[in-house]
Order: sequence, then C-alpha cells, then structure tokens
Amino acid sequence: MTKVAIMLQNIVKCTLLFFVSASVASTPAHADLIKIETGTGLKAVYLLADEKSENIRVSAVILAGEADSNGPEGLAHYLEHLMFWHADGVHGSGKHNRGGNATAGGLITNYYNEGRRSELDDLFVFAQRLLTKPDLDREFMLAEKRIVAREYDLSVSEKPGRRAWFEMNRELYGPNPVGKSVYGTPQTIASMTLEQVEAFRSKHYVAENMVLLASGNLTETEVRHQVQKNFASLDKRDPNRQSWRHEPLTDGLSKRVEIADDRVKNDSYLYSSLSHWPGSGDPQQDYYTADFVKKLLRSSLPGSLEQPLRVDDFVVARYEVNLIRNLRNAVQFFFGARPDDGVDLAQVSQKLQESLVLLAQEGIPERSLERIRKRFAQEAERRNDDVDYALERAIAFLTAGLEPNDSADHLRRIARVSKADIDQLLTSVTNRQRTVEVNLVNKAL
Amino acid sequence: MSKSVSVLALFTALTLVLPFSAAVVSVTRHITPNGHEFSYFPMEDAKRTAIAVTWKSGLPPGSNLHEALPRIGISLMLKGGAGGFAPSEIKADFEDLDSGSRLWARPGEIKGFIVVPDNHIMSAAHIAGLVLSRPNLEKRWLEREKRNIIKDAKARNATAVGKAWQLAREIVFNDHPYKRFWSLSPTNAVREIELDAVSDWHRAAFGTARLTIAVAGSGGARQAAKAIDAALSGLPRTNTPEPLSFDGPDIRPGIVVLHQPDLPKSLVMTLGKLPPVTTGNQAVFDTATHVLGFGKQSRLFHALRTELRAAYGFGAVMDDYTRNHRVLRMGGEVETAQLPQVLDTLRATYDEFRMSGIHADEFPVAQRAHRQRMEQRLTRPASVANMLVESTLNNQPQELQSLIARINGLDRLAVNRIIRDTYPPYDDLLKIIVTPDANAIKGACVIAAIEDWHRCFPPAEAD
Repeated sequence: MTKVAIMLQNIVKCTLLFFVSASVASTPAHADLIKIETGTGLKAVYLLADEKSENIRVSAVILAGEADSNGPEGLAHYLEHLMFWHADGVHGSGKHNRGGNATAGGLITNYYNEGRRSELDDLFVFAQRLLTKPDLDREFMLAEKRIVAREYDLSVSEKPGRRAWFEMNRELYGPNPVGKSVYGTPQTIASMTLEQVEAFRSKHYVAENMVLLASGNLTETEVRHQVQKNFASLDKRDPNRQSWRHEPLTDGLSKRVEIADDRVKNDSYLYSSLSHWPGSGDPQQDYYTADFVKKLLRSSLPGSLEQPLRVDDFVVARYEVNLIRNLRNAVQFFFGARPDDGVDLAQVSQKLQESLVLLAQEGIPERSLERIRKRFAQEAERRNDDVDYALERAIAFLTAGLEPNDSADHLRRIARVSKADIDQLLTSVTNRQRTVEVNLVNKAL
Repeated sequence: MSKSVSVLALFTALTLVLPFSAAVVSVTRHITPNGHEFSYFPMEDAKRTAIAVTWKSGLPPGSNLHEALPRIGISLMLKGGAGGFAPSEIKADFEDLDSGSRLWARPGEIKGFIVVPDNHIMSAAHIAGLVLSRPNLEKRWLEREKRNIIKDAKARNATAVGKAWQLAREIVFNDHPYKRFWSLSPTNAVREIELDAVSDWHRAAFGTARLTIAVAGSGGARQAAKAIDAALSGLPRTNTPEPLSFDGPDIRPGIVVLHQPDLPKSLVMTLGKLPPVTTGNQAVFDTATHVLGFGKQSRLFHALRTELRAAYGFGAVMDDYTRNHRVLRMGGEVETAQLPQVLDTLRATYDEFRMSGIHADEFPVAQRAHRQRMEQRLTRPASVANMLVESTLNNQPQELQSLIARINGLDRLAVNRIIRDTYPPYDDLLKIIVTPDANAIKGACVIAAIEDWHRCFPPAEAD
C-alpha cells in the first residue's frame, strides 16, 4: 500500500504507467514468456513464441552451480564441459544442423542448443540427456580437465584483476559457498575426480532442478508434447533448495588486502561490500530497484559515480560498478577502478566513499530517476518482441533465484520502482556489514 | 534544385529479397537537401534507423604526425564533450534517446554510425553533429586520453596474445607507418602529440567532399536525409587528406618462436595472404573460413580441441588490414607440452582442408549456418547500413542485394576450387609461437626479444 501511495503521488510516473499499460494491451507480444504445465517433474517449462524466427532454441537451466558443490573448486564447471559433450552427441559425433553452448555460473548452469525445426526432436533430446549419466570414454573425460585448465589460462591466469575478484568474494562471503570461484585454480582442477563429478551430477542434475525455456516458432502444444515425450518417466527427486540464499550475513568484516603481482600492468582499486537489505518484501520488485541503482551509478546522470570520479574530477580513468543480490536479505556492492594519473589508491577509496555517502544522504535526484525509468521503459518497449531480451531476463531471474516474468509484468515493475525503495537501497549500501578492499599493484613497485 | 525538397533525386533502385518473407525491397539512392548522396535500405519492422558514414581520410600532408593520431583524436572527441557541453551532459542526453553509436579509425579511413529509434533520429543527429564538428578538444582531456591509451597498449602488449601481435606487426609491416597506427609505438611519440596537431587533423579529416553514406531502417529516406544534413552540417565541404600508399603485408614463410620464460601458457598464430575483399566471392571465403575455424564443428576446433585435447579453442578468421589486403589468421592458446603435436596437427588439418575443400556432409551445414548468420545481420539496421557502406567502398554495390541468393547458389565443387587456388600452402604461412619453452619447436628461429625478429629473416646473400 505504501508503494502504491508513493506511486500515486508521482504524476509523471502514473502517466508512464498508463502509457505502458495501454501500449502493452495494443501490441501483440510475439516473444512473451508463457509458462506451460506439462505434468512432468521438471521445475518449470516456458515458451517464448516467435513466429518470425526460423530457429528454435531450447535452453536448459540447472538450478545448481559451484555454490552447491562440496568438491574441489571448479567442479561444477568441469561437469558442465562433460555434460555438454554428452548431450551434444545425440546421434554420435557427426555433423549436425544444431549449434549450442553452455556456461557454468556460481549459482546456476545454463545449456542451450538451437537449430531449425527439422532438428526439433534432437533439441529436446539434448536437454533430456542432461539428466542422464555422461556416456563418454573415461580417458576423454579425464583429458577434459586439461581443457578446463586451458580455459583457466585463457580467462584467469593473465588477468590478476579477475583473480583478485575471486579472492575478494571468498573473503566477503566467508563460509557461505556463494563466494567460491567457478574457474577453480590449477591445483583444484588437477585434483578433481570423476567420482566427485558423478556425485555432484547425480544429486543436482535432476528434473526438479531443471527449467526449460523453448523459444522460436513453436506452439504450446508442440512444447508440451516434446516435454512429455522426453521427460515423462523420470524418477522423482528432491529439488535443490539453495539454502545458502537464506543464510544471514556472518559477523562484521573490514578487510584491506594488497595483492602484488608482476602481471599487474596498471594498479587497480577493488572494493566490495555486503549490506543487510531487507528490500520491500517483493524480491522481484527488489530486482528492479537494484537494476535502477546499477543504471544510475553507471550512467552520466546527476547522482552517478561518473561525474564525481571520472568527469568532474580525474580520480579514476575508468571504473565498473555492480549490485548483486545473491543472498535474500543482503546486497553486494562492487566497484573496481583504475586510478587516473597521479592519483593513489587511497584517494580513490576516499572519494568513492564520499560519493556514496553523499548519494545516500541526498537520495536519487528525482529527474535522474525519471530519466532512468524512461530509458528502461523505451528499451523494454522497443524490445518487446525480442526473444533474446526476454531470454536474457529469464536467465538473470533464475540466477537470482526468482521466477521469470512476462513482458507486461516487466513494464509494470519498471513503472513501479519508487524513490523510497531506491533511497533505502542506497542507504543500505553505505551501512555495510562486511567490506573487502583490494589494492592490486605491480610486484616490482 | 531547392534545398526545401528533402529527397531530390532517385538514382538507381536495386531489388533485394528480404529473409523470412517474399517481400521485395529496393536499395535506393538519394541526395539530401545539402547535397550528400546516400543509399537507403528500408526495413519496415525495424523501429530504428541507422546512418553509417565512411570518410576516406589520411593525415594532413607533410604534417609528420603520428599515424595513431586519429585514434587519439577520436577518443578525445567522444569523451571530452562537444559544443561547449560538458562530457557527462552530452553523453546523458544521447543515452536518453535509446540510441547507439560508434566512431573509429582504420588505416586511411574513419568510420562511424548512429542507430536510433525513428522518433529520436533528429535529436541524435544533432548530438552527433556537435561531436563531429564542435568537439571541445581540451588539453587536460587530451593528456588524459593519451595516458590512458598508452597504458592500455602497454597492458595489452604484456600478454601472450599482445606479444604475438606485436611481433606479427614488426614482421609484416616492417617500417611502414601502419605499424605505428596499430601498435601505438613508439609511445614517446604518442605522448608528444599536441592539441594543435589534433585540431589540425580534425579540421582536415572530416571534410564531406567524398563521403560514403548508407541508411537502413524504418524512418524513411526523407527523414534520413534531414538527419544526415543535421549530423554533417558543421563540417567543411572539403576533400580529406589522401591515405598513405601501402603495398600490403610482407608475410614471410617460417616459424618464429618468441621465448617468454614467465608466461603461463603458449600461443600459436599463423598468417597467410588471401585475395582482398574487393575481388568479390565474399560468400565463398566466409563459408570456407567458417568450416576451417569457426565454432565447435569446425575442422580446427575438432582437430586441436576435441581430438588432440591441446587447446580450449582454436580458430580461423580473415583480417582486412585495408580493403585491398586480406589475411587469413589461425590461432589459439595451447598446452606448452603439446606444441609440436599442435603444429603437426595444424599442418595436417589445414593441408587437408586446402586440398580437399569442404566435404559433402559439411557443405549443407556450413551453407545453412552462413545464410542464417547473414539473415540475422539483415534484421539489424546498423549491420545493414554498415554492410551497404562496405559494399559500396568495395566496388560491389550489388553485393547486399544478392547476398542470400549468392549463399544459396554456392556450389561445393566451385567453392573447393577457389579454396585450392587461393588459400596459401601451409609452408607459405608465417607461424608465430609465444611460449615459455624455447626448445618446443625443432628448427624454429628462437628469439627472446621482439626487436630481434630480423635475425629470423636474414637478407639473401648475393651470389
């Protein structure tokens, strides 16, 4: 009720809400998310119908990732490699008219396959095979560890900033497994066994943890038929509760670390905090509130970090900022920057904190809030029939432990984000419980 | 003719069959009220319009300016504000429009585009016009951009892939100034670029006397013409400086090993000449190079990752150094202990591809995948506008018109003949290996510093 009252006080916002609602009603939602009841054990099945597309994509999201593994760090990623090859071998290793890929995140693992309508059966069989034991040669599976190590080389070994990010997350989350690195380390990769992989797979790669998202020129009937054909006879298992999402923050922490590494070419400052943030009681709406703040901090608008840190004063040459809600009652703030010439890392830290405190005290400028809302709404309107836009949002929601929404709900929630909720979040970010600062410097210095 | 008439002349009309429908549209030629010619490709459902522009543009003659100056100048134009407006103000105003833009330099060219919702096209064009014609160009911003660009270049050059690129540029460009364009070397010379030099370059580089402009989208040619005039109105109607002459990359056969004991990994990069983009057959080269080295089903990925298990990824791409010089590049990061097998497998895979071409079971998959990629690009106004500009500059104005038909009409045997005739033999490729193991490759020329590359290619002795 409070939020509704605030919203009604804002004429501009109400006008936008009317505009948004009216346009939703009049625009055929080609790529809207439809939840399909299939009577199988799958966690959920969605259709994103797009009659203009010649391609069909079947995304299979396993609601488990590195945070759910008890094995060596990187195990969920290694399993993702093996399961992709296993699932892709629908008809052996011959050439096929399908393409696909997979990504292992810390919290979920996402596989997709896409192809023409002629491949429809195989696209669903690909997803179904993700729930079966990998039928791969043992030597092949063990050798895949070398590939995982090469991926570590490609993505991490020459990037000290990324290693620092993983170190920072470990410290920040303490015993909570959210802080584990999905890439692992060369040592943990070398130590992984196929038995550990199988234990993780058999526990988490089950229908109750799988969300299917089918997109393209498909009907509900076709999707239901395919799902029932491929997923009807699966054993019932316990879903992954991801209980770590609901764990309270551990004790306070204020840690400053210096990482000296000869691969650092430009000194950098990294800062991350965890703050208690109860939110509004509506986690989906909170997702939008956090997204607004993210957009504000990244923008060039009054209230952003760009003006005080990068444009008005040359404090940082570049920066990135993020807000992440991995835990239900907390928000993680991340800031990483390269100082401008002649500015030391302590000055960056001080200026960042001053800017955040000032923003929390003054709250988001009304005009900036409405400009962000307008930008967000016009992008959402424009991409209303864009399957990729809806799919990206659905995956982001699943990563955050939320149920995906349709485009009408998307637009409604954009219109509903309030200054009060944003200001509460900004205050939470400055009232942090756990902080880790990393000064990343060249060893030679 | 009166400037009050927005679209003054229709030159030609090329028909194009759109993907996914039987609709036939025309690429039409127009002139804006201010006299700028442009091609227009209508995309009814796009909701957006893209305007792409290319300036053929070198450095002012006799100026002795550093070839990387356009890169620094453009960075300054984009970040330092324009028309007296503060940088954050102009950026925020543009972001309000749900629009995208890019402005960048290639050797001898400056390219740019905006892509805008149809109802915002004039607002976006006005902002683009300010950035192009009245950038703030302040000294403190120039100094900052130079520092940042140099720092970025140094950081890139310290990685395995950065070292491979540096070495490759030394060998293939030797002393040609384009080496300095790409490598931003020597950094001292970049640091010495003065504001006056940037201003001189800016005044000369964006003359509108010989522009290539293309528009794609749903806004209509009349509106596009107005937007073009708004974006270009503050620019001088002069000829831009001639680009440098360039005979092409000097790709010398051989294996050069750059020994870097502290690297955690090894990297392989090969370079070989292909016919330039201006000679046509783009669909053939795209399809062939994809079969060779794009995606999980490609020959190189299959041989080096799936079979040999020596790399996370290994691929092939075509780089257009200029539109008259195209290079086939293969490469990837590989396991150091497997380097000899990697090179053996690479040779066997490439030779087989070159001599036998695309197999019967690969061809329909590759053809379909390529058609699909192109169809996808044809749904995006910015891609279409840029493709239209490129096809015009490559002297193939009808390339876009017949793109899908050409892909559909590809004949495997003809494609394989072209592969055999144009892809260079493996022995003619330049192979660059960056590795912590100096002895990994028998018979290779091993150097410890990039500047020693000359030792690998001694001048031929006189008889």
